Amino acid sequence: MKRIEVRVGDATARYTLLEDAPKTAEAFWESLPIEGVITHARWAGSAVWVKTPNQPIAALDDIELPVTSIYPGTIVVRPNPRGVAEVFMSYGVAESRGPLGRTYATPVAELEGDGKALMGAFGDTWQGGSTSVSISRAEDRS
Amino acid sequence: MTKLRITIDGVSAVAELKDAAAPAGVAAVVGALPLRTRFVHASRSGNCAVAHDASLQHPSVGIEGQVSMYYPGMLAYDPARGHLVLAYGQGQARSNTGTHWVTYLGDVVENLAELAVKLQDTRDHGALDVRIELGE
Amino acid sequence: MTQKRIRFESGGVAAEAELLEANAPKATAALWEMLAEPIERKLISAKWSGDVGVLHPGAGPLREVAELENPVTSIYPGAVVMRPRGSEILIGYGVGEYRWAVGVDYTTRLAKIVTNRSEFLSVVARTADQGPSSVVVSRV
Repeated sequence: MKRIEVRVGDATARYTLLEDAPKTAEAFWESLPIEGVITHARWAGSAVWVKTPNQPIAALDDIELPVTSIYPGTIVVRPNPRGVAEVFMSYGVAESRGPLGRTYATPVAELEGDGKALMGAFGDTWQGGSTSVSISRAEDRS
Repeated sequence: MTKLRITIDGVSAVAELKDAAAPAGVAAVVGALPLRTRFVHASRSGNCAVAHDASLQHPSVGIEGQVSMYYPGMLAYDPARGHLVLAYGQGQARSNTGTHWVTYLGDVVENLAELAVKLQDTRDHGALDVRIELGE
Repeated sequence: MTQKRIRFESGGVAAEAELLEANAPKATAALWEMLAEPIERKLISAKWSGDVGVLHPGAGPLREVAELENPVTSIYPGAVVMRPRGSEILIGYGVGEYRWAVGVDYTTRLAKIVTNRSEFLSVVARTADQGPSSVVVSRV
């Protein structure tokens, strides 16, 4: 089972890579580490997002397992026609949405435990503004 | 015509309210003035910032001039939730489970461009203090 | 605290699901109460919602849970969700989204299948072309 680690400041949490969308999950894994800036969603609800030009995830143009709901503690990937991937990380009730309504994305990872500190850091971006994020592979301690 | 002066981070703008189309909403908002609160960027409704303030909450006031979509410079009011919304681009009144309706309260008629920059700033740089008072 | 689990058994295949009590305290408590005795229901294929199996719990404590908790419309593979008042419980096995004749609607996540997942989801998937089967739901 592959695991990733997400860090915002001093807050970190581990996620398990999901296996229901293997092509997207593998592309996400191969694109790590992702270093960038998370911004609070303006359409999606309780979620933050980061754009990445990293390959191969940025080259994916299909949605392998389309979902609108981003279950709390889930990471989803949404293709962007400008050659980047949009990575959304939820901390509460969230949906993949845009100006015209609901959109779709592929879930790639699920939070282990409650990730309280990281979820709090995500939520803080709503009123506190954007901040740096690091998404990397984690050692498998299972 | 009722006017509001809205000041965010040193930028001041004027909005004209829809006294005839939304009398109850205008009265409820005017009754809360002067108001010092925070504008927070919308998390579900697109290109707009929202003031959530208990003094704006009036569950008995209904929706007037019912709209769902926002356009730049529009001032919208949700009396049940106590939300005052200022749009700087396209947006829509939305909740956890879809779209909803708000009162079309007015429009920014003076200095929208500078105000829009401040509203947009709430997304990348966080919430900003706002002062809302009766305009001249 | 150990997470409560429920068990599904259909077509000779069983799987366990963890209740998502933090996500939906009212709905999961009502479901747990309802399963004081195991229930046996018909498992059918969804008509509007995609790759999803459906069972109708019927009368019981779920009827009292009228509001959604942390609402979702997508039904991920292995997710167990319910409609308000427990009118339907749905189990995702592929691409699923709760829909009704008039469009998209919302559900509450109750549980997540954590054991024997792929085998059990294959059984749920079979309802799409082989018709309804029986499912027994019980506490673990």
